[in-house]
Amino acid sequence: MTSYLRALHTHPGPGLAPLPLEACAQALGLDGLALLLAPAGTGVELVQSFGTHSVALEDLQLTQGQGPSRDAAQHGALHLLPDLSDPTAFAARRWPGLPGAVQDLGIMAVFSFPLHIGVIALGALTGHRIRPGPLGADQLADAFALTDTLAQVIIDQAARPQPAGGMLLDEPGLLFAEVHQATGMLSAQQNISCTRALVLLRGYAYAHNRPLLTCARDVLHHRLRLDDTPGGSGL
Amino acid sequence: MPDRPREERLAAAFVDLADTLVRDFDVINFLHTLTEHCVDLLEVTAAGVLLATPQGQLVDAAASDERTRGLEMNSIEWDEGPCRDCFRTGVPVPDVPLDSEMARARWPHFAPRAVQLGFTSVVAAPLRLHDQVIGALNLFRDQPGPLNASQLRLGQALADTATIGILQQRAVSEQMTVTAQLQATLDSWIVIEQAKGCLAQLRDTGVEEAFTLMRAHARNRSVRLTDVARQVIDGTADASLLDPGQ
Repeated sequence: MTSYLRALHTHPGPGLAPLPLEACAQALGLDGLALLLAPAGTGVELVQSFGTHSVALEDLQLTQGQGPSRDAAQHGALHLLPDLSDPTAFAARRWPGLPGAVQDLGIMAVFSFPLHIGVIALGALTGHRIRPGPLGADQLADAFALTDTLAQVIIDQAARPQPAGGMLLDEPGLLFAEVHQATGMLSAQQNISCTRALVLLRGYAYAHNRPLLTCARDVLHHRLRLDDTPGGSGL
Repeated sequence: MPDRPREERLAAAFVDLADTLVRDFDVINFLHTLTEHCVDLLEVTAAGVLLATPQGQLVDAAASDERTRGLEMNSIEWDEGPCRDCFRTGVPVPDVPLDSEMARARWPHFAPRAVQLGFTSVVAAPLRLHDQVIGALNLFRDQPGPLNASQLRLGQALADTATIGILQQRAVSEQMTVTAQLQATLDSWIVIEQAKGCLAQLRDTGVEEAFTLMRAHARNRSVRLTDVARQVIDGTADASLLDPGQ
């Protein structure tokens, strides 16, 4: 873990260093890791991920508009969910309907760590495991060291003067870019705000139990048209 | 204020000086509060604070009264005085009788002027945390005799608390600025993706081509890509970009 932490600090930039998430996940005994950053408004953006189910896990939280990633990123809350099948656990009360849906993905444990500088929340690091069970004491210590380092690296890179905004924006920054593209497309189609368009898209994904990203791609390829009318549905 | 018991006023002073993580923090106002607490709690008649700019220049930040304020400003003009010495060395300047050979030798302009204003002695305490010295606090008496040891310790404690408060506020402020930059970058990314989809719809093209069109437009007009993207979403972008006929 320490050699990876060192490598993080020495990335020359621009943009956010591609992080060795796979190695970190293995060190923490996890099947996946996702790095999310919190923009100024609400919500949270997935920027890097490792693991077969990581994108699906974040997709689910984005569709439902709730979950540990979002809470960690927006409120700086630590969420350790060692067993999603436990009906008495905090997760079942805090995010109704989410634990069951996460288990349907094959995931039994989720751990969301806030990334923060001082009192300010920057984002979150969310790990998951197919097998239930808590993180060991050593793994927890490593995870905290990792999030502290990540937060510092992110702040250091953000503090660097950006070259005319050009290079940074050429980087594939957002893993859910297509969702935003689809909301832009919907907003033009229906003459509604992007905020409203996202609600529409999320509603469709939720109602049809399909990943948000898949629905977004259908919109972009004109396979799906959503009408912003009461009870409006797609093709 | 003299009506409350001293212990209460002392406690209130420390709470005051720790309370810097407020939205509209004003360092000048804060340092003025420090001078007021010094005059209230210590056997001094006046207090003044000099604060350093990021470039290391001392500026008169606050004083408990006009007479002292004038003297601190003179101190800067003359580049002379206990605050200045204290800031440079980072250590306290112990009680010095102003009407003395030593004072006149050390501060040929400052000492006589201070005596003229009615001050008898002065002590200076650094505003310091570890290696960082951000300014200095002058404490003036108008009675004979020095400030006793426990009073000196209290004065230093007030100065130390103020210093910690200022440095914490600066650190948080800096963190907030950088975080805001990060968030602005993220917002830009989001807006650009939304605009790609929006323009693709309006121009009946693919998302990649829409991006190319926006970048070309931004380059040709010498405007930022993010601004073009926001205009596309607002519907305020130039017709040449939005209208397929162009």
